[in-house]
Amino acid sequence: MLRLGYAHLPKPLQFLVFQDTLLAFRILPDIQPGYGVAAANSLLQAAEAVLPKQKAAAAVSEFKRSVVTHKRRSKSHYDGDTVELSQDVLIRLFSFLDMRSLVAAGLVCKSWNSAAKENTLWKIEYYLFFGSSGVKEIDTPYDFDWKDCFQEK
Amino acid sequence: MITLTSSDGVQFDVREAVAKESQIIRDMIQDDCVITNIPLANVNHKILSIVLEYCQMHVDKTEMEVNASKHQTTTGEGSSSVPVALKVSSNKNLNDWDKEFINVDLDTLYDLILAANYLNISGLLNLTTQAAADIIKGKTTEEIRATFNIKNDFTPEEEAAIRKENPWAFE
Repeated sequence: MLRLGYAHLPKPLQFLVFQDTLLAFRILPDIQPGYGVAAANSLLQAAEAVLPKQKAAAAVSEFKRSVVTHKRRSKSHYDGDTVELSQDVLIRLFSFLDMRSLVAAGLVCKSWNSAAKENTLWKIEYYLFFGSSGVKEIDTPYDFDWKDCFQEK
Repeated sequence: MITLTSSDGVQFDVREAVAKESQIIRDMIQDDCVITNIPLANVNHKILSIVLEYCQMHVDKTEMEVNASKHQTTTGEGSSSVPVALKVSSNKNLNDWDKEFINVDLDTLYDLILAANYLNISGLLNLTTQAAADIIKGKTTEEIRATFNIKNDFTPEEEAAIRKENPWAFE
């Protein structure tokens, strides 16, 4: 489609198509492996053939960045047979834990550790532990560190 | 009816309401109303059939409640106590059913969490992550690693440093 139509389009539309091409490369890592890479390769070829030099170069660099992310993600997600839980899922899971279990879970591995540091989890634990006495949410700045606050007590 | 195809090629025909328990399917159907076949590349047939059992049950229960409340409005005030009792018992039943439903082995639970997250079924995601949290509760770090078969990727120094942050938790 890109190959056939691009030259005939008026300027503003050409720009839109160019933006779409970049976007398509950007979302590549989110698409299933296999489908995504094949589709992106043919899009890249079309882009190189049709787009003016500068834009083609931008498209190529976007493509390369995307492929790297894609590879990195497939690597981190597929450790042998098992797929890792995403940070969002881990944080949801950890929100059901008591404080001691949360700390134990935070030591399991790096990925669990970074999820267990999530500030909102510590805010919940703080309120459960100290009640609403002590620090009031209204007094706390946006980036207040609830975990630090906990450790000082 | 909508056909959902699992990653290993098994097709499931389900009512639209059942498929729509999944937020991503709901979005897909809204974007394009002619979709009748949706391939789900991340869910195999074993897990998908369990997920659909959950969706089916929850849709059925919700519809039963809606019908019950319709019944209530058409039969007048005299009989209003019956549908309320029905609603309470159906909620209780559903919780019991959920509890029974989630009583699966750890591998299945893990796959269900991934599927619920991928399909964005928030009720199922809450149910499964809560169940996994219940398994973690009260375990030491080593026990959690062994249970979930997770490799420790900290260096001994890193691990010691984190332990130092929360000494009270390891007393």
